[in-house]
Amino acid sequence: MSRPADLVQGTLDLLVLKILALEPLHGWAISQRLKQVSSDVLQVSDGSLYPCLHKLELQGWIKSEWKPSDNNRRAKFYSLTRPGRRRLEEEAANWVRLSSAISHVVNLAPAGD
Amino acid sequence: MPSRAALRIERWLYAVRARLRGLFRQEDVDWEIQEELRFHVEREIEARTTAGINRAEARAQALRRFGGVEQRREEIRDAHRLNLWESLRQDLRYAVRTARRSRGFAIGAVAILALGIGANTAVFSVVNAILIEPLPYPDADRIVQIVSQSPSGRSTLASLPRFAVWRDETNVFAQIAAWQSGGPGINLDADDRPEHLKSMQVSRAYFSLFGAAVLGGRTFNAQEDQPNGPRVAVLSHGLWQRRFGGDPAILGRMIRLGGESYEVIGVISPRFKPDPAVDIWLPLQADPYSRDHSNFVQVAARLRPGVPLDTARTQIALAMGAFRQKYPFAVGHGEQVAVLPLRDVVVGDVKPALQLLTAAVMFVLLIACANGASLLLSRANRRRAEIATRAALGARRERLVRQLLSESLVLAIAGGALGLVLGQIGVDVLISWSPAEIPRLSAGVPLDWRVLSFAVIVSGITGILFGLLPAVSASRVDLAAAFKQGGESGTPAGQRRLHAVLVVAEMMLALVLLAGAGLMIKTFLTQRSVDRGFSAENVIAFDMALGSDFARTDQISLLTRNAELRLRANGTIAAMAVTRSLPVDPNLVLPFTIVDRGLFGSGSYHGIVGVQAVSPDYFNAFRMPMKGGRTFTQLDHAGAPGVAIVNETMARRFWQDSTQIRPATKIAIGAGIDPPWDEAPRIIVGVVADVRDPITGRPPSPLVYVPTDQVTDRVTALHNRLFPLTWVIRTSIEPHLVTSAIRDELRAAAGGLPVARVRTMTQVLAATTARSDFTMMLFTIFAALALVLAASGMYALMAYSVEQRTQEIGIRLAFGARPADVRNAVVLESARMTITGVGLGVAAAIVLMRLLVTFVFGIEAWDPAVFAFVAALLVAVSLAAAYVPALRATRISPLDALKN
Repeated sequence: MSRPADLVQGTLDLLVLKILALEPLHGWAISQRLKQVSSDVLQVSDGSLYPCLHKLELQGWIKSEWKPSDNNRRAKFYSLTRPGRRRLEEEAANWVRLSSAISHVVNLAPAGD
Repeated sequence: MPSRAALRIERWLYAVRARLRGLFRQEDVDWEIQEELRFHVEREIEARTTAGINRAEARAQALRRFGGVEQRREEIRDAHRLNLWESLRQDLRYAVRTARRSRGFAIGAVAILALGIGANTAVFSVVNAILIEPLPYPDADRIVQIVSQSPSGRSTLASLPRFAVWRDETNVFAQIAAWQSGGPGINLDADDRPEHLKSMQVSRAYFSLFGAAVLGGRTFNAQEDQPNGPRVAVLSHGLWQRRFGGDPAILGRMIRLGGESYEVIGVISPRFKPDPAVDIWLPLQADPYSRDHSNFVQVAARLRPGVPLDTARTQIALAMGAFRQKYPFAVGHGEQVAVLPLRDVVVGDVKPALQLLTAAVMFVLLIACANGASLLLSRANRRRAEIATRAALGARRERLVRQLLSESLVLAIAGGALGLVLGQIGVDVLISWSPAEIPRLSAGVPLDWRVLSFAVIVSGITGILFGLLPAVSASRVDLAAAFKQGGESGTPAGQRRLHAVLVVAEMMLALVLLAGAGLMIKTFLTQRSVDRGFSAENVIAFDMALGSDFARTDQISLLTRNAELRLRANGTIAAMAVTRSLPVDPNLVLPFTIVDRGLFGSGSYHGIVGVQAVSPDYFNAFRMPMKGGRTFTQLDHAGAPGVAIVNETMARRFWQDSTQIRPATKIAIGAGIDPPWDEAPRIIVGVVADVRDPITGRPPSPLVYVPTDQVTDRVTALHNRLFPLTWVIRTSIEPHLVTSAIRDELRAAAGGLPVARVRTMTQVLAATTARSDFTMMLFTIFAALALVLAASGMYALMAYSVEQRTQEIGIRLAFGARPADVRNAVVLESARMTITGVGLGVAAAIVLMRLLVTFVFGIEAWDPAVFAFVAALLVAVSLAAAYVPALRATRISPLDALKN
């Protein structure tokens, strides 16, 4: 795992969906939540969030709407679509399976040494 | 809980909405992205300044943390673009590459589609031009024609008294006009170059009815359309250009027509295109009090605004009731007067033939679609391994489906483009082959884009449907199974069956077309073997329009003698005669009485008979055999007692047969009509064979021949108005060799009158069969196309089937199966399908050919010989198509088959 960021990038989609599952948010708020939930482990620039958001929207997993934000300026709020919610459930289940499998393997490795 | 499918559709709808925004409003998207990113950065700065960092520093930190605003914006834009255009382009590029790699398949599919699309487009374009496009007159759908319908058919001809009643006893027409066309025409007298003109005599309202505008001058006024009104003429643009060099001073000039002087009062705009074409219009000058009941004009009218067709029908029916009371003899038995949209009349009896061809070409399209579908099916099955690989490598199902779809689409587009070219060629070929008398084709036929798009859509849908079907199932394929079996076998049974069903359907449709073509060809051959009652070989007919110099009977007698003297010097002439109509043409039809025979009840005549004036050698020229008595001779001249020759049908109907006509039996032609037909009774001196028309198959009607020398001047004047004088000449050598010499002599004998038209009798007969020949020929071409398509469908299926079972066949051969067994197994498989298709086809044909009978005259719906022949033909061709892959199966090397 020479480039841990790559792995993280692949899971960005999942994290975004997870964050949006709680409430509709605009991009900046999402980036703040990302920092919180990942305890600053995710060293991604804020900007890389946006291509990801647009891709997810174009794929129909999330939708967007311009609404006034807390400081009364208009912001683009993203929310989960129903298919997106379903995908989150499936991917999360997969992720749990995969990560438990990986941690299983990782835990086995020292024993093999 | 919503189902998976519902969720997929929902997601798809969200995705489409998001993409459409980017597709149509690129600036909005750009603006949105910019706003969104600016909001983020400003919010970030705000957060930092609240934490006590000065604004400039906060801004720098925020931008650093964001990581290149421009770069991000470009990335987002790319995401939008890539999703839509990029993947489409990828798909298309891949499709073209695939098509190029499997060239045989691509060429086959494109050719099949192009044939189907091209044939359909051509036929529908012609049908559209004839049946659907409005006539080229303003508000043409408000124009109606008044026609008479009787058990023997529809006639557009009416008499002047009828015209007067329709015009004066109704109030539903904004304009009503009568015109006489199809008459003998008129000669333009010019010392240097006399010319026969296609003339039309029209009542005053004709021009406003059809929206014929003048380029200069005016059309006829009321006074010019009175009986014995002034001689005035209106020229067509073409004639004005051709004969008068477009001279602007033509108005008011006098020209000589048929021996009389006419003043040119107008030239019609070239935008007006009458059908058939007209050179010159003359006033009809119909007498409103005419009691002449001969039918020689056509009548059309424009409905007043808001007047429905039914109201016009009611009024005409009422007017005809009064007319029938006034002139009981002038309305035929069982005759009805009908008001029909002009287009229905113009299109007339071409309609059923066109509908038939439309149905046939639809069958061809169906077969082409089935063929294309089965090609796509077998192809997609062959690619199951490839698709499985792509799926295993992570290609999404949507992506695979889309890729296969775009492959079908590329084929459909190529097929459509080629079909467009074929369609254009087809239209040109159709027009050049079509008989001249098919209406509305002279104006040219534009390729109909609606039709083209219809055909492209139909074949596109076929491509999509059958491109999609295997795509969906193939991409859902169980990867493990597909790999394990090497992707060669394991076609889902459902698809195999679908494939077989398609081929069986092709066989069935092809058989129906073949049966139709077979029946038509057989009818064609039968019709040609019927004895027409005269010989057409080596007979030429020359038409001449007679002017005022030949208005009396004795003038025509003199002309005839004069021409005979001149032509006798020409040794190649076996017989010559004059007549007013050829054997297949209509005649004047008049009531007659048999002198000294009592009338039954209140009747004023014994029967109705066609009357044809001929010179003595007429029967000789046509080799019409006499069935009794004598023929006419030179002694039956004007001063001699009146004589007549009747045809067999007349003899049979009124005297049982020719032997029952007692010597000196007299008939009075034109008995009881008003005004009286001024003719003394004639002695029947002979009986001649009937002339039969095998095309319409109508039984011959009673006909009486009278010598041209013995008709009264009034009848000659009537003849001159209605018919040309036709010279009928039998030559002893090939007629084309002497045509021009004869024409010159005739012209000299007639004092320079031009010959309007020269036709060999063979041409005349060909024209009468031209329409049914045309229909038959096209139908046969479609049937042949269907046969080829069905055979290639069978070939493709069997080739695929053999290829798929290479392993199985290899094993069989390895275990000692004889090649003949393998071959027979393949042939047997195709035979089963062929027999099923042919069986279904025969059943369908038996039902459908009953319809054909109503479309094509003289066809027998059930003809076991034809059915057996076309069934055998289809089976033979289909088995021959299957034989090639069957042979290939025998050559499979067991070793190679197992190695793979």
